Amino acid sequence: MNPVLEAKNISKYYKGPAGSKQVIFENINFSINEENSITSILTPFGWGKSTLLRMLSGIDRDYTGEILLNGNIINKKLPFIPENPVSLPWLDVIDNVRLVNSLRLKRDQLSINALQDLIDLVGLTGYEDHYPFNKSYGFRFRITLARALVISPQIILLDDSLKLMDFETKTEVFGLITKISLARKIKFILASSNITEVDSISDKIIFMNKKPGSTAREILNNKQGLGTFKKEIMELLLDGKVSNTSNYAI
Amino acid sequence: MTTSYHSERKHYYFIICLLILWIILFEFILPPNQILPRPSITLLSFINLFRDYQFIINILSTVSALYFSAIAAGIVIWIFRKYILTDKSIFKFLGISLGRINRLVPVILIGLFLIIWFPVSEYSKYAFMFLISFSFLFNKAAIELKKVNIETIQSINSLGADEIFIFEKISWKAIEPALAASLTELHYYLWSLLIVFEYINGGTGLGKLLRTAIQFKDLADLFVYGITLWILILFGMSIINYFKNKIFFWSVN
Repeated sequence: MNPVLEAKNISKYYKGPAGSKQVIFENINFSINEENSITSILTPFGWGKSTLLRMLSGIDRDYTGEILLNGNIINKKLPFIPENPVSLPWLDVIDNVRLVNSLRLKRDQLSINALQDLIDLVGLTGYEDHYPFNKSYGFRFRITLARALVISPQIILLDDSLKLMDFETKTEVFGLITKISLARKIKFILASSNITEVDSISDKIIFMNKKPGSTAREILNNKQGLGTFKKEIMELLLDGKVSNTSNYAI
Repeated sequence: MTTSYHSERKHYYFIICLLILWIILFEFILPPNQILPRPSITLLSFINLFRDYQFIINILSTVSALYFSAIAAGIVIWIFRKYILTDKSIFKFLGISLGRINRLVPVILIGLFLIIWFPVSEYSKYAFMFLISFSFLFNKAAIELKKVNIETIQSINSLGADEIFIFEKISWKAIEPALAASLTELHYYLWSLLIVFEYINGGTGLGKLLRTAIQFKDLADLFVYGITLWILILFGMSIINYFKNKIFFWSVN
């Protein structure tokens, strides 16, 4: 099976204060295939997951190695949703969602009905003229997600976007992501340090090692229900094969 | 909202109490002195100002120079924002560098140069106010633009938006509340500078009248100027706050 997104020997360095070469990641390799609808990148705290997602997104191109999308070197950007959802407080929900619609070619622009469909899909029906200012993280995440859907992406990158939500909202958002992934055939990549979170939502986990950042293991969902990953991850952690448990949220 | 309304009302009550105290003390109890004028003399002085010193024309001259120039500076920055405030713009670099000089050299010195460069005319006042407003707003905008959340920009950029689109639709909008909030500071700043400018330059305006009052040691006139200035500044502030709360109602964080 051809991978949809593939990272090949990705390394990133920066120059330290004394001019020394500091390694952030070294030889990161992983692939996301057609059957992986929600993949999580599980990393220790402070690992650089935002940096990795920015590289996958195409915002940061300062790295060595290759990122391939459908077998070709990535030449377009993938929607990136940061930890703090990007809902623009001066625009109401409908204007937030249609913000990037005008950037598309006239023939590709979504009609008002199609935009309304997206609002319905993320569960914001009836809130079209509401402003996101002072609204919950869940509300703002839904707006950000709907806006990302406007450009009909193949993959959406989530940078620990669920971290700031309460348990109830998180559960709702998990359901929403799963629904969108199935309905629109969109793949999600979630970067997180929370083992329970990635265990609840992912069908594949890419487990990262600390210092220097590198791929430790890829774990696939064996369809045995919730908690499968968690058990496997905990075994890895307790065996000392990867960073210790204090580097993760459980 | 209700709390701030009540707290504002308390301030007004306090001011009214002070006025009543002034009337009782300085009209009926204390003898004439050089601390505060008698209320009846102040009232006569107020009438005289209108009759003999073209008070209205002087007020209009000061108010129009201040507000028209500040509004013009705001409009110029808004129109040319994408040419002068984007990261690649040379004007942004120049503006920030000039802003740093501005921190070291008191602005009033620039005003003194303007007095020498320009003939004594109304235009020099407008030019001075425009220059001050422009540099203040420009610097404020440049500083606030640096604070715009990089993740917001990157997220919109990942959806295919280019630099100009992000600047106009995201970064600029994100700094608007902070710019609007800075108008309060600018407002006080402009009033102070303009009064000093008119005081030195002469011509027309409240600063010129203030100089005359000080020359003649006319306490009643000074008192009237004080009250007039206070009312004008308060009125200007109320208008600024009204528009600030009405139009720029959001906060980015």
